[in-house]
Amino acid sequence: MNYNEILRDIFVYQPEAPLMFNSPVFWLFGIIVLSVYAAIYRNKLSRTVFLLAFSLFFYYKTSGIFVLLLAGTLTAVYFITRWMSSCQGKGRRWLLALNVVLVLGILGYFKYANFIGENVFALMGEQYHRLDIMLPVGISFYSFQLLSYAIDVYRKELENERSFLNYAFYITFFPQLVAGPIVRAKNFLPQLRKAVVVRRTEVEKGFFLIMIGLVKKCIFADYLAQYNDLVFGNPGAYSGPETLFAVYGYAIQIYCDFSGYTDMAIGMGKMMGFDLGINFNKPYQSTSLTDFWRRWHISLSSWLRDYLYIPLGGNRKGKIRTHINLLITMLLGGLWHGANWKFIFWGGMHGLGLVIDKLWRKITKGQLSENRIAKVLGWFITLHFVIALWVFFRADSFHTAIQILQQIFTPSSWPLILTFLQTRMLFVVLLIAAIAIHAIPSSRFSDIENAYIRTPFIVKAVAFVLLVQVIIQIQGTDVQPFIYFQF
Amino acid sequence: MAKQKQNKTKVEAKNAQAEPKRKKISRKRVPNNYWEYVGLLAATLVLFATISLTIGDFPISMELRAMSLKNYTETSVHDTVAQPNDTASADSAASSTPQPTPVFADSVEASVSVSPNTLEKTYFYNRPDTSSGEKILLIGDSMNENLRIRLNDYCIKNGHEMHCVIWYGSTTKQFGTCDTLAHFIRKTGATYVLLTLGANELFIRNIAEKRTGYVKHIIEQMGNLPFVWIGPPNWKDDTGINDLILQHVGPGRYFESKKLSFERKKDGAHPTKSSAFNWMNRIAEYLGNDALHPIAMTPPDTNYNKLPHTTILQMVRE
Repeated sequence: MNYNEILRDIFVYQPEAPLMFNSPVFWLFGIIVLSVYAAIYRNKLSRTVFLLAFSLFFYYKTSGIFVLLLAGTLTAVYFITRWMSSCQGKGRRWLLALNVVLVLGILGYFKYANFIGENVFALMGEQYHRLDIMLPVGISFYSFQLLSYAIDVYRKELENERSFLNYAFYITFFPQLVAGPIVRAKNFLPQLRKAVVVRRTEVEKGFFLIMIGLVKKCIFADYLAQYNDLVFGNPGAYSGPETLFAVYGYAIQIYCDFSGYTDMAIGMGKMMGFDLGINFNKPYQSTSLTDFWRRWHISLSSWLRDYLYIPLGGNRKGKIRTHINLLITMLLGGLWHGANWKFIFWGGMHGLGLVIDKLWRKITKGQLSENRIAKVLGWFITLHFVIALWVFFRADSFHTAIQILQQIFTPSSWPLILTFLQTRMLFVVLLIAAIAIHAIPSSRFSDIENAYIRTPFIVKAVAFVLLVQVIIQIQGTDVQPFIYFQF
Repeated sequence: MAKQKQNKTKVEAKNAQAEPKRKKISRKRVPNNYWEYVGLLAATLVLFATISLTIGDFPISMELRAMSLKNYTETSVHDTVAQPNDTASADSAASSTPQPTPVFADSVEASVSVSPNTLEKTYFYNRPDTSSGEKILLIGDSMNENLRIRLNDYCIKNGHEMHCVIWYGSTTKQFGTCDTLAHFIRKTGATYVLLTLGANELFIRNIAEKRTGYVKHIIEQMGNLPFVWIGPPNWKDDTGINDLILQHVGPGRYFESKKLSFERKKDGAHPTKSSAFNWMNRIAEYLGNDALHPIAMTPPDTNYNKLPHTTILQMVRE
């Protein structure tokens, strides 16, 4: 055994194996961090410095040299915002604009330069040579946190944070750094100013959430992904039922992957005494598209509402402007996910869906909102609208997405469904289990959480060991990256 | 008014009392269950690490991976497909030539399952008279998914027959510890083999030590048959798999794909369909001009976009 290699693996950035919550190396670090944290957390300065240092190291292990970009950007935004908070009038506005240009400029260069270049050159009918730009992990998430901090200070909804350490800790806190939730400064910074208390119940709830997150990510998402990847990678080669199951499978996969990550992030925060808010609330139970966006990626949708939709005029400037504002917000929300026309299309279609939803409610005057049949119908339509749009989100191209949707309706291949159910039994079982678990109402979920808290520790320990065993059995040789890491 | 004042004083007094209480709470250590969970994490990590290091696999085999379509761990392949002589230390055994276990001797279906849909959908598209053509066997990992479609175009144009075998997530270790390759050569009567392997082992350390035996055994299975090993389309520098294969197959029998640039799928590894088609075009150029045993590879006039006869290998439940 070469110890130098082991140490290098642990401490040096490995592009092919970035540090992720579901990797054994992170587990090792988690034990060390929690142990040290318990010893020092009562001292505000030590706690902040320690977690800040680990968070930066975590980002280095995830994104390598881009940790310098993160440090540089957050430092620049801090000092510009500090300067801005002492200014009034035009100066204040210019400094906010400087912050916005800086953050969006960096985000734009890394995420959108090639996309813009390709499209501009295509319009001119010329060949574009892609720039060799690597996307820093989590840049979209921390950029939005930086912007919300600067805008909140500009709006005087938040005081400029005097402690640079507190501010840097807020931006870089490792559980939420690379894939959210997009925590607001006005919710997080006050937690740092007062004494952090690690409570027994919060520790239990935190660990329970981590276990839930592991189940979602490592069992459901990763297993379903294996089959989904095959179908989406070669859509023409699979029959209608096979394709349909992959489409449903992807809807569950993306939910379990992303919400699993945020569950782990929120759970870790809870164990250390921090509240990161919530990011998902049973989105596939939504009975309308408006409802869906109140339940899916809540931290992003509320960010878009507060910093884009409302500043655009929200619903204050008449019906047509409201609809246009919705469309713009969702188009940009789509673009936030990636520099690709498919994401813009995905966002645009959601925007259009929201407009139709608003119009429908206007026509029916909300009279159907309590009708049970209308609710079921609303749920069914919403769910399938969302799932159909996930196909565009996942497919390599628009053409592939259309091919997949067409393939589902190939009538001759439907008798194969029995063969499919036999061959892919575990896939189908996991799919049904995920749907059943998702259907559990929130109140019942609280009961389950309370039952877990009351369970003797030895039972919890055995359950955890069994869970790890199942994860190891189900996982491949590689740790699967989280889908939202790329955004 | 006096009552209000009294109430206010009461509230202030309460707040004053609450202040030291808050301070008291902040001085509290973490609750016991915090340490219980840290201990649980540590104990579980030690338990599984120890088992992994000493035994090499985990004691309870739940065989859940039997259903998975890619990324079989190397251990599971050992368990269910091939048993090298020294199962306790597969890697150390790899340096010597491994002895294959005949997997397909009696029945193919006994050890592999063939995707029903693929069987139903695949057939020889307008198969021309290929009596004078080659019978090409394209075999290897998932990279064949799109390569096979374009290769089929070339086969149609040039009067070759082709059969494709895809073993998802396979590596030289898996092909090197069983007779899968020899079996399909016999079964299809192949006169020319195209082998795509290596993409799942780009980052293995000490690769020469661990894989040489397997690579040699793979080459042995092809005997005197003309073949070309199609190297992996690297997305990062490898740790030596390309050099290792090239060293053993020699010039004219290795297509070094890593020199090409690819447009990748979302997984960052597999080329997109159009990129894979371009890749196959370059391979065809090589096969027609530079290969040790050149074969007719005139570019087809169109993309037929038809799947060739394909066998998909996957593990079955024991």
